[in-house]
Amino acid sequence: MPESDTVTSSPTLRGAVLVSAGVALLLLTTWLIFNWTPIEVTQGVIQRIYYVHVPLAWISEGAFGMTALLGILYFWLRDDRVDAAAAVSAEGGLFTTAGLLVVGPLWGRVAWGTYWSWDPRLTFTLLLFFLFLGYFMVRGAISDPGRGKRYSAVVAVVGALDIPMIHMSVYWFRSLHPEPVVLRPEGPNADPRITVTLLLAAVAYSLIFAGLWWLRYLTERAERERRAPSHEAIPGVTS
Amino acid sequence: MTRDELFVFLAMAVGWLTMAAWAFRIARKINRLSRGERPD
Repeated sequence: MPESDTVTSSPTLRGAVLVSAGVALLLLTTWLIFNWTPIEVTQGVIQRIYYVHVPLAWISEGAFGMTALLGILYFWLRDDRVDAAAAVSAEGGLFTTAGLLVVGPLWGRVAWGTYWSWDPRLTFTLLLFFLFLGYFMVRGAISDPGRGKRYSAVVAVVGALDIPMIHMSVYWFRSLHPEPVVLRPEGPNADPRITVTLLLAAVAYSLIFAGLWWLRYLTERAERERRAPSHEAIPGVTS
Repeated sequence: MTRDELFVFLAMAVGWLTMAAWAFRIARKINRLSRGERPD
């Protein structure tokens, strides 16, 4: 078998390739932000936080949505691989939501004059972080692993109601947070270079997230196999 | 460097660090598994 086939057939390397592609695209995006994308007229330089803030928000909501969908699937199939995938999505989402809750206040300090406001969208996003935490707390607090998986799936499914609340809160309530610029029915209303840079940043972060998700999924499966030694090891992760 | 520029750089660093933190956790797990150690 040619060497290239061996490389691409390794599950671990597949994840590493996705992460590397994402990092390369993120470097390119960073260059575009400072050399090609115009500075937004009203806010000035601080608007560049947008290219980190929005991708982290999209990924956080996507991760929790994925956790909820996999939770529903777990109730149907009772397959441990589905539960592992759900738990990995929640873990990734916990990281990105934590990042989002640091980046957002930096922007808010300049745009609104305060790091934090109990604005509906900010509050629902903080709730999303606590839902991710709650998902793992429920799982860890129950000694029976089967019940822990089912109960945490319930947290994910019920908690997923927070995702439309985050998106719609700027329309439903009086809010400091601006309305969507890209995800709106009429289409994006920013300079095309701003939209292109944002979409590239979103793809870059998504590639990194997908690669890490896959690597974490492999390790999660391997750890579960290790705890139940009668099964075969997962190729590509275990020695 | 103005405060706004500093905040932009901090935000970008946080974006990178968010992914790096998760990658670090995964790398530790892969390392432990490849050494045959018991999972956390």
